[in-house]
Amino acid sequence: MLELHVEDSGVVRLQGRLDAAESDRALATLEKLPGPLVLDCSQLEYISSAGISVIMQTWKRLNSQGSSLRLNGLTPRVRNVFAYAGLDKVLDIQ
Amino acid sequence: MESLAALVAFVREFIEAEKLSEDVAFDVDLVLEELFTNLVRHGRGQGEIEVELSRAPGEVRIRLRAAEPSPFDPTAAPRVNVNLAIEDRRPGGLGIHFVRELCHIFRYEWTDGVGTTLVVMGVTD
Repeated sequence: MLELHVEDSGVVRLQGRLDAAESDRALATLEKLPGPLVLDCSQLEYISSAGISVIMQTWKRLNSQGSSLRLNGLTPRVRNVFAYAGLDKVLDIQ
Repeated sequence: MESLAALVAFVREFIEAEKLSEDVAFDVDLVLEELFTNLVRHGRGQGEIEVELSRAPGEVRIRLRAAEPSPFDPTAAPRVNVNLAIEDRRPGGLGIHFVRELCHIFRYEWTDGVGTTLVVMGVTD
């Protein structure tokens, strides 16, 4: 189960699990939002390759528009998944 | 993908019964989801997919069995280059890459119309 809380300031708070069951809904929400975006991942408990794909597609869209995506507050376990994907050094992760 | 919730509940039960850590729970969830979605995405395992989790000293074993009309070997999936720039990456392949990262044994066999995938990951006892 994933909850996405969209705040006016361009911050999206992700809460729960971003897995294959939730990735389509997450992408549908994120692709409606203009950049720059900040994803607050402090309450993101889990992410799989389906979730990583959502983040990559969002990054590509915003990058092609000259905008940006930043990820904040990743837990060590979630950060590990970005590291396995080789994305921990190339995405803007705080 | 509704079955994912059932998989998560199954993993949770196993982790609690075996008194394993949340770090192990995360890794088992990840490997199982990637193997399961790989089967479903490629139209395999349309019937029942049997999942078995077991514990041995220093390791957790995950076995998936599904009726498959022909072999579909996930261990033969092309390797993903995770050093490419994001702009140059194409979707797909990351899930099996995670399985390779987390499991020191990753095997597949197909016998009499049944495909079996076995993975083994190290855990701290």
